[in-house]
Amino acid sequence: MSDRDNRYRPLSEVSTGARIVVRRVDGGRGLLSRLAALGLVVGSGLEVLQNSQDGPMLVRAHNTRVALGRNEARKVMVEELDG
Amino acid sequence: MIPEESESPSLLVGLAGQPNVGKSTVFNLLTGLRQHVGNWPGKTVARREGIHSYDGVNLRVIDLPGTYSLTANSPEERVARDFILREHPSVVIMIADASAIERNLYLLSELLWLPAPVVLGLNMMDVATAEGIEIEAHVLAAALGISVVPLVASRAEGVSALIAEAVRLARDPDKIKPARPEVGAAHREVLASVIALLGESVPPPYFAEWVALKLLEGDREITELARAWLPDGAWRQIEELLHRHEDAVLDITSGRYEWIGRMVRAAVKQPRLGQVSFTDRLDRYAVHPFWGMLLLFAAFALIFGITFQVASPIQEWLDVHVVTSARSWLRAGLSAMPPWISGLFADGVAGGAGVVFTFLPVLVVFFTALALLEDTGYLARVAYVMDRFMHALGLHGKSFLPLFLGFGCNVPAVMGTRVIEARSGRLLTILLAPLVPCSARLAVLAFLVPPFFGKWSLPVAVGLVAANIVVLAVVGIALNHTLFRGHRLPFIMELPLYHTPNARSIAHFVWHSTRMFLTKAGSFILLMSLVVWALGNFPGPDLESSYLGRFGHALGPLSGLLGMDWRLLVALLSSFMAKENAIATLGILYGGGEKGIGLAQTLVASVAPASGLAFLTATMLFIPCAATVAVMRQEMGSWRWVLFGIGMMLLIALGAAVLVYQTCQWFGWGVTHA
Repeated sequence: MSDRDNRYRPLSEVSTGARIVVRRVDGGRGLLSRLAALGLVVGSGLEVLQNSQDGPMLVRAHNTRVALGRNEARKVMVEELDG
Repeated sequence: MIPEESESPSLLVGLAGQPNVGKSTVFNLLTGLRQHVGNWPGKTVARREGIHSYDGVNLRVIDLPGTYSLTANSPEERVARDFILREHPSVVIMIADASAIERNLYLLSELLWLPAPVVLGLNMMDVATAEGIEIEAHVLAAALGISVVPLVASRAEGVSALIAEAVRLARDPDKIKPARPEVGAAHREVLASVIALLGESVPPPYFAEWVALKLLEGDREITELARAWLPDGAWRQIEELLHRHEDAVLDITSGRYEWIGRMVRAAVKQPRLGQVSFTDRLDRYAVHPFWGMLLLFAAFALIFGITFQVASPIQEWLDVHVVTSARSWLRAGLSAMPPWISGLFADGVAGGAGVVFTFLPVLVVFFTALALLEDTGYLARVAYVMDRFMHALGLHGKSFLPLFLGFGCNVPAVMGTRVIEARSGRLLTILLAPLVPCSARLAVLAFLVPPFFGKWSLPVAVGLVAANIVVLAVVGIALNHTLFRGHRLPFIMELPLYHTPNARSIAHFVWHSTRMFLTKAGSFILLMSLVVWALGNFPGPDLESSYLGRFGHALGPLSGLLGMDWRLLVALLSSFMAKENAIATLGILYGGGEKGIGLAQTLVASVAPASGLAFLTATMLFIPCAATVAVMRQEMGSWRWVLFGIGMMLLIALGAAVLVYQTCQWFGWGVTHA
């Protein structure tokens, strides 16, 4: 694993309020295209609106509030934007 | 079908758009009551079609299902793109939500690849302004190369300009030169190779360029089709290419957003970050794990409160003043006829019509609540908050509301499953809905538990309802791990902005749902009422010697296992017409009259508590009532699944009753009469 990859974390682990960028999606094409249609593609900037310890989480992408199941959020690898 | 108005020329118009963009509002504005709701052939997706007259032209407007994209992830997406490919609309009007314009243009980036001219209606301009988003429509139009018309559909603003533009385009489709998103440089060569391999093998209405794009995206339907079209050799080469470039889909989807970014750059000004909107403020509570639940139960308590305060009294009034008087009037009017004729009309026909009739008040309240929750945007929050609990059943949050409505009545529960997009999720929810104890069953429970169980009534009643819910959960988990294994769709859902509900859209929804119940379910209920009446009255003279009574007697061997004699079995069977019929039938069979006065004492004297408990268990879990069966057929689209559901419930009900009775026998509980 390269240094770069070390900076990527699953979306499910990012806390409320963080601003992040999607870097990779570890899912099949089905998941990928459903996420894409709601504005989550590689390169999309997201804001985490709610992430409790379990259950689904809520992000904002392209001015859309998108709810994601925990299983789905685990497959979205993101990078946090510092500052 | 809609009557043809052949004297004037007509144009076929497709109305496309993502969900929650106000597309239905536009459709209702255009077509008013000149619309027809049916199903797409072979699909359980609603097809809404209507006529709008403009400048001497009749526009046949087809409201396409709301879809976020045009990749075949769901039946809705297939329906939308098949319509454009196969029915060749003169023009497609795409409605977009101006407040989330980038995500909305994703659908446009796919639409522009299909062979139909597109006009963009930019709806909710008022919401966008309120959110601090500024859009210059003519700048966007110049970038996209298509017409862009700003709209506020909730106030009917801009809709006539949109139609004028659509008609102009339909008459001269070549006047636009839309900009189309191209595939990123990294995969342009692969795309060209796939197109070359497809060669002449792609039959119309499909075309190689689009098919190649969809193959790279991993579209399942197109992959299947292409496999069949191509000679083995060519297909293997394509498959090998696709395999090597599995990542192309990432490039294609990101490429679309890059294109969107270029399109909106000059035309759209986003607000400063950090601006907190009304939706954000409300969502702090509405989607909160604790406050969200509280809000949800308050909302549902309100719905049920209204049902019992308003709908139930109306229902009772209808039953007493309309149905019962119609029946006695019929009986009096037909008194000169042989008794079976007056019975046929007063009991069979009027009885069935009465069942349909008394459903109406509750249905109207529930349909209104459903439409209101959906239209304000709150329904998505309910799904979000409940998702974690529904997960165990293999369902996601969206199944919660329909199942919850089931406590009032199973009919709107089944019809309410339309809010679930995925067919497998919808089927599973419909199969589970009749396991929710409806108010009619709870009434039977309330009537029969106290005489049998005295001071133990409350724990017994609560226990029966709880056991019922446990059965629902167990069946859900079991189906999810067997028949529905691997069908779980990912939970990815938009939470739309909150907005003021549109009275017109709600009225339309309630009107169409109620009418569908009356026409589709009504005739089935009437037919069943006649069948049940005939079985209970022939060959006469009383219920015991009727076919129904004989059938109850014939179940003798089961009686021992279930602890129920033929009378209890016949009462159980009669609950098929309507759950509360069980009481009336017991009244007839045990004496004490149809109203059940004195019935309780008679029952306790002749039925042991263990048998009573077995009967109650079976009643709670017994096959859905005729009205529910009718709407199940309508929503599932085939009798196969309905029969599966009925068979499953029959087995569960009888199995549970045997278990309850035999357990009581084993421990010697309540086996002798009080």
